[in-house]
Amino acid sequence: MSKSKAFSNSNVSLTPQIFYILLSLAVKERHGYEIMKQVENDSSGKLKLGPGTLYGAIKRMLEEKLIVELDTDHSRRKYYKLTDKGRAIFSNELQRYEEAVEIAKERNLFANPSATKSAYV
Amino acid sequence: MYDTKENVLAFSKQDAFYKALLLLYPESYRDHFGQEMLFAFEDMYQEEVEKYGKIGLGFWISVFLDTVESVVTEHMNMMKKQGFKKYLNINAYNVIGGILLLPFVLILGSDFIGRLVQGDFSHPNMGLAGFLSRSILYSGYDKLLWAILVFAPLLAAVLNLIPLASSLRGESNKLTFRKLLFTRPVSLLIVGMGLLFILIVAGHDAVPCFVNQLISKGFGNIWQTILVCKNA
Repeated sequence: MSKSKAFSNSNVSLTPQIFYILLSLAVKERHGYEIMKQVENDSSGKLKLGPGTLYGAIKRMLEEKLIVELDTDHSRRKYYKLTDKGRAIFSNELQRYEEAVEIAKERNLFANPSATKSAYV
Repeated sequence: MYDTKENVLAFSKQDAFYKALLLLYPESYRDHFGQEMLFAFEDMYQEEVEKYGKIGLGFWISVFLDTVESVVTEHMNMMKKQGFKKYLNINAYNVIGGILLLPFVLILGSDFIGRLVQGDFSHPNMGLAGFLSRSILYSGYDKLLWAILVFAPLLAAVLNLIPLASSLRGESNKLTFRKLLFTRPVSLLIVGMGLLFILIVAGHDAVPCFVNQLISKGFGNIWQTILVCKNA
């Protein structure tokens, strides 16, 4: 799936919450609290989701079919897993970040953020 | 950590509190995610106790803010999806009731704000309610005007009991107050406001006096407050 096609298939804007939830589910399926903890770890504590914010985001992601609920017999909890669509959108977002980082490196923006002006000349 | 009786009891209280907060969410959302949210809250609570040995104010503030933000978001989403009219279940009784109550909302609302700004809820002639009562006293039509002032909110309240009663009948007595709040929120609001306005108009200065006494003396001497304000 091409990058533009992946984005056009979804109305979900990748907010930081949704991005980090996708990131936490990229490796394995998790239940709500596991997602909360993983998001906190992955964002170095900068993003802390409460149950309300988390399940609001999960609801939208389920509606957009970015994730699915798993039926598990062994647990009372619901586990969530990325769908192909969710994985494609997440990969495209990562690729976009990677490209942006490459450009930033080429223009030496990490060492000197004020170089932005001259880089566009 | 949760083996002791005290911890189990304390935990149950938090559980009950969070369950009560979950009631604020739209019903369909709560049905789907309520249990999971409770599990997540329980885990958060447990982790906080294990980490700090107690539950701090910061924990409750973060839970409260998270709940408020998501409750507002979910209700707004529901309203967008269903449309304003369907979401609030508005009918003709609500519209008529709203029109009947509008003057009271404006008059008593501005009066309340006036008293709030002045910091004095006991002043009988302050604000528009004071103006209104003086006008009635000196108009020569006091009984007629007073009857209208009581009749309008009474009519609004009675009219809006009709949709509430039909909802109760439709659900064959299984409808609780909570469900009524979500199925007929506007009717319930109009009935409540109608009764409050009747109380304010009929009670003259008793209600402002009561509020003033409560603010200055608290709930400790509530019976004394009632006695003081009974003849205000």
